[in-house]
Amino acid sequence: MDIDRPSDPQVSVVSSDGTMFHTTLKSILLSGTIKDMIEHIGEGGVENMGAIPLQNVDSKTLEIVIKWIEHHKDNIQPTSEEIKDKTADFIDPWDENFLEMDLDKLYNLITAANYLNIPQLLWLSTRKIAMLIKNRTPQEIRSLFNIEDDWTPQEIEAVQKENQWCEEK
Amino acid sequence: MAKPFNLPSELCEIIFKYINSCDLLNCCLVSRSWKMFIESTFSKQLLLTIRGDKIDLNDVFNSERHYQRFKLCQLSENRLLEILKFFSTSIMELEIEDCRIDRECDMNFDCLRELTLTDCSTTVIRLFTKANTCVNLKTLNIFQPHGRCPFRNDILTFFKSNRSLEEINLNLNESCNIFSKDISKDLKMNLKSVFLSFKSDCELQTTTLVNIENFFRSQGETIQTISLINSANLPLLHRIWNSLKVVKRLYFFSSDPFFDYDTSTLELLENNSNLLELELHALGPFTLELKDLTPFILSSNNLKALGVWTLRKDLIEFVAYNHSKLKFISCATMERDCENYYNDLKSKFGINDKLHLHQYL
Repeated sequence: MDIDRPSDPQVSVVSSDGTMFHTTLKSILLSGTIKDMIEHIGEGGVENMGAIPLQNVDSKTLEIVIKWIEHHKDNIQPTSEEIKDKTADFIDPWDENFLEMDLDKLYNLITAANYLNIPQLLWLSTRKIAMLIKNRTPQEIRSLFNIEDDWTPQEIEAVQKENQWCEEK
Repeated sequence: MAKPFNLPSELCEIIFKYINSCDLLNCCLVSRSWKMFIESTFSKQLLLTIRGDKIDLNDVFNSERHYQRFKLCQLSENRLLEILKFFSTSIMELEIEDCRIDRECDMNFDCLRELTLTDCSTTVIRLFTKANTCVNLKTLNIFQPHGRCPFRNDILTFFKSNRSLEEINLNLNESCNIFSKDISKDLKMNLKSVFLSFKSDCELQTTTLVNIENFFRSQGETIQTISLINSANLPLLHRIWNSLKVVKRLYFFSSDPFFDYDTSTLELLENNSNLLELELHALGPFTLELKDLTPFILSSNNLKALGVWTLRKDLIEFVAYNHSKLKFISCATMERDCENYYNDLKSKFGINDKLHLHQYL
C-alpha cells in the first residue's frame, strides 16, 4: 500500500469500553498491528471499512496513544531491530514531556504500545520506567513504586554481601 | 512469581534490559519479589569476581544466582580448580588473572564463549588449550606481558581444534615464541578479528615478522578486523596487505617516539572500498598532516570512521565538506578549540549532520 499518497483518509477506532476515536490513516499505520489488519483488507478497502475495534485498549489509554501517533505521523519510525541497538539516544523534548504521567497510565501505555506494536512508543515508555530506577537507592525505588520492604535484616545483609562479589571491576 | 511492575513478565523484562548491572544489583535489594525476578532473568549478566581467599566458596556454590560470567584473580590452585570444576558446565565468560597451578587437569568448558588469561602460568593456559576443551569458544584473549608465555604447541593444538574461534587478542612480551616458528602450515581457522600487541621496546626478529606475515596470509580470507600494536607494524602491513582482501577495520598504535607514518602507507590503503574504519596512532611528536591524508580520504569511498592521534581543525573541516559517509572522527588529543570549531561548523552550516567527534583520552 502506498503510505505516502497525499490524501490521508480518516479512520475510526473503538476502545475496549466502547468509545470511538477518529484519527487519520497515516497516524494509525504507525501501529504494526493495525497496519497488518489494513493490509489484509487491501487497497481501496480503507474508505469503506468500519471502525476498528481495539479490545485490549481502554479509552483513556487510546486517547494518549492517538495523541502520540498523530504527533509522530510524519516521522520515520525505527524498526524493532533498530531499537534493539539503541542506547542512550537523544529523546525529543516533546516525547519527554508527553511521558510525564502517573505510573498506572504509563503501565497501560506500555501494554497498549506492545499490543498495537508501536516499537518507538514501547521503547520510550519502558525506558521511562528504567530511567526512574537508575541511580536510586532501594528505599527510593520502594517509595516510588509503592513496594513493601519485606526483608529481615539478616536477609538483606546476605544480599548486600553477595552484591559485593559482583561490584568489583 | 510476583512481578516487579504491574505488567506482564515479558514487558517487565524489557524495562530491566535498559538497566546496567550496577543498578540491577541495587534492584535486588528492593524486595524479595524484585530479587527473585532479577535473579531468574538477569543474573547471567552479572560478573562474579573472586579475588584471593576472601569469599567462602560454599556461599558462592549455594547462591540462587545463576552466574555465567566469572573473574578469578590471585587464587590458590585448590580454590581455582574447585571453582572451575563446580561451574565448568555453566561458565560462558571467564577471566583468570595472576594464577598458577602445578597439577595438570582435564576439564571441559562446553558453554565457554569468551576466555581471558592475564599473567597466568602456562599450566593454567594448558587447562584450556587441550584439544576439544572449549569447543564453543569465540574469543580468546591472552595477556602475558610479564614473561610467562604460552607454549607454541599448546596454542597450535588449540587453534587447530577450536573451529568456532573468531577473535584472538594476544598481548605478548618479546620472549613469546608463538611466532618464532611458522605456524601457518595446515592451519585453517575462521578468524574474524586479530589483535597483536607487543611490548614497546620489543624488537621482533625478521623470522618472527615473516612468520606473522605467513600467518596472516594463510588466514586472511576471513579476517575483517586487524589491530597491530608495537609490532613494527607498517612494514608488516605492506607485505601482507594484498592477502587481506576483506579487512574492514584496521587499527595501529605505536608508542615508539621516533615512529613515523609515511605516506606510502596511506597510498597502500587508498582505493580500498572494503575499509570502513581506520585508526592510525603514534605517541611521538609526529602527526599526520591533512595533505597526507587527503588522497586517502577522497579515495576511500566507504570509510565510516577515522581515528588520528592529534585532531586538527583543518581535518574536521575537510571531512565535513568532502566526505558524506564518514560518521565518526576519533582522536586521543585535540588541537585547542577543536570541539567548539566542530560545533560551530555543525550549527552554522548543518553540514554532515551525522558526523560525530569522539575523544578517548
